[in-house]
Amino acid sequence: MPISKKHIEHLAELARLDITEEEKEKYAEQISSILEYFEQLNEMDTMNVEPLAQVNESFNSLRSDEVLLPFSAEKTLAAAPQSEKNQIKVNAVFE
Amino acid sequence: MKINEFTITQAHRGLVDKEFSCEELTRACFERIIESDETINAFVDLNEDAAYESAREIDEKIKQGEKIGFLEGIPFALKDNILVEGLRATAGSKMLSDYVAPFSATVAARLKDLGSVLVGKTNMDEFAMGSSGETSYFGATKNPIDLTKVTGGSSSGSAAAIANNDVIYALGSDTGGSVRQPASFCGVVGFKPSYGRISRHGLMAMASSFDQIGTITKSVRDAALVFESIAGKDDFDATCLDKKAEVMPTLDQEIKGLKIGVPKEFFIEGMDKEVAAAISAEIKKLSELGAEIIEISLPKTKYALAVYYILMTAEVSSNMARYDGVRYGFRAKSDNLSEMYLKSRGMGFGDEVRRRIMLGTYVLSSGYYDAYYKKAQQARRLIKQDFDNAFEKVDCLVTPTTPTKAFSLGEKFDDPMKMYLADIFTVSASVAGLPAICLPCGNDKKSPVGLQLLSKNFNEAVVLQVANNLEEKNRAQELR
Repeated sequence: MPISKKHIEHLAELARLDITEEEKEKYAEQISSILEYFEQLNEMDTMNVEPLAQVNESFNSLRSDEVLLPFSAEKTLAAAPQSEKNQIKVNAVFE
Repeated sequence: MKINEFTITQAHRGLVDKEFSCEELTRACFERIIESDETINAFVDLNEDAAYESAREIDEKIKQGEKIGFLEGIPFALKDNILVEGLRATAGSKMLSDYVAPFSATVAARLKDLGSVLVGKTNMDEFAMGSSGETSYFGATKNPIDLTKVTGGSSSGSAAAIANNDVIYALGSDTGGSVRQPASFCGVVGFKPSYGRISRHGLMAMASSFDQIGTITKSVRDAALVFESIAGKDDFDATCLDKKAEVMPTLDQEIKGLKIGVPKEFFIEGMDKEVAAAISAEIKKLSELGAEIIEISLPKTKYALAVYYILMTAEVSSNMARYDGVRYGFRAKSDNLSEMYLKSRGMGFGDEVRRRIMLGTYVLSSGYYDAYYKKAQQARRLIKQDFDNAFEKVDCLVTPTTPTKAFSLGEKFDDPMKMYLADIFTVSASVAGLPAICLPCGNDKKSPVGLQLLSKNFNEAVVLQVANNLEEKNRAQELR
């Protein structure tokens, strides 16, 4: 199923990706051809087949409830693009 | 033979017998990298000071007459999506070009505890998305065997580093073939263990129901050694199973009487003639080694690539949501918060990553979810059943790793669908979570073809045993 430039715009908005007009055209064409390839799955009879999310049997993975400090707040904050008073800083959320 | 060309076993013996010091071995690796990496571009960062420091510590230990472990003092490299505390971890992306890891991945910590010497972090397709090594923000890695060819991807730098003898062994990550496919193109051994064998804690998530850490080495024995050292339960990865990973005791046992299946769907009309011929020659050798060769059918094989690309992009779109310019990574200058998200992600991610995020967003969106995502999950079960049925009849399967030899740089770069088709033979094992190894056919060092062996989940032992027998046979023929 071909996908329109307008649909790409919507997807980019949903995924929070700023893309150019030129890229919208290109992605529309490329994603359409990939989706066309996906169509072959329609040949498969999947009636009453339980979807598979994990290849291994699910199991409980438990560990003791101890406080560990695998990495420091200092190092974690150091990775933030902007911080102030031990907090990560961003632009105002409300105008 | 130079010491940087050694396998783990050879290097270990050299260190124990004091034929060379760990510092000399480490220096040989760095000298090789410095003379060639400007061209090959296998490394994003080197770890010289720390590497020499730990090398000297190990030399001291050897001097004192202390016993050293198998990986102790052995120089290695890590793909740059695996975190090492205090070192940059870029995942080949602009998004993380300034990111310094605040903690170490479980595999990195285990190898450090074992005394292995980290030489550097290797180049890769951006966030492990690519089949050629060309999507890296830091430029493509070139194939050391032929500089006009791609290395394959996404563990491009790790495969090139082994082919070029930059280090003794390397780790990569394999989501749909990212260890096996570059190993095939570079003529080295690439091993992806079963899903759930090795902790992914500290490996940047791409598609979490597929991701697995794998090894790239110069021999099957080395793959087995590294695998046993890093596999096993980890409290930080709940998908990592508490199962004993024991492969060495059977490695040298003969394969007489083992049943090896040849799935006819992997030998399709129109496939590369040289690849087909090379694989057939290896199958003949397996038969000479006493294995029983059985033709079988995996009828759902042709759907595996579509299943993989639907589920993987869905998981990518979700995993990539964390890169929003807030807590770490690239943040674009902007006037308000909404613009900051849009621009940071738009500018921080490269073309292929954005394409996959949008595809994944599409297959998960309401109205399309059942037709794509759910359908692919159902198909995934059927593909797994295909394999379950096959492994009732045979012990392992043999296939080509890739439909062609290494292609030229730029050849498929502008056509994503063509690029995705390069993964057609590797994705099946990923969809079913199976262990799989790629080893070079015969002794063609100039134009390698990779052979793939698969077995049922957690049966790494048989995959490595068969691979080791075949490798030994090829080595014996070369010496003759």
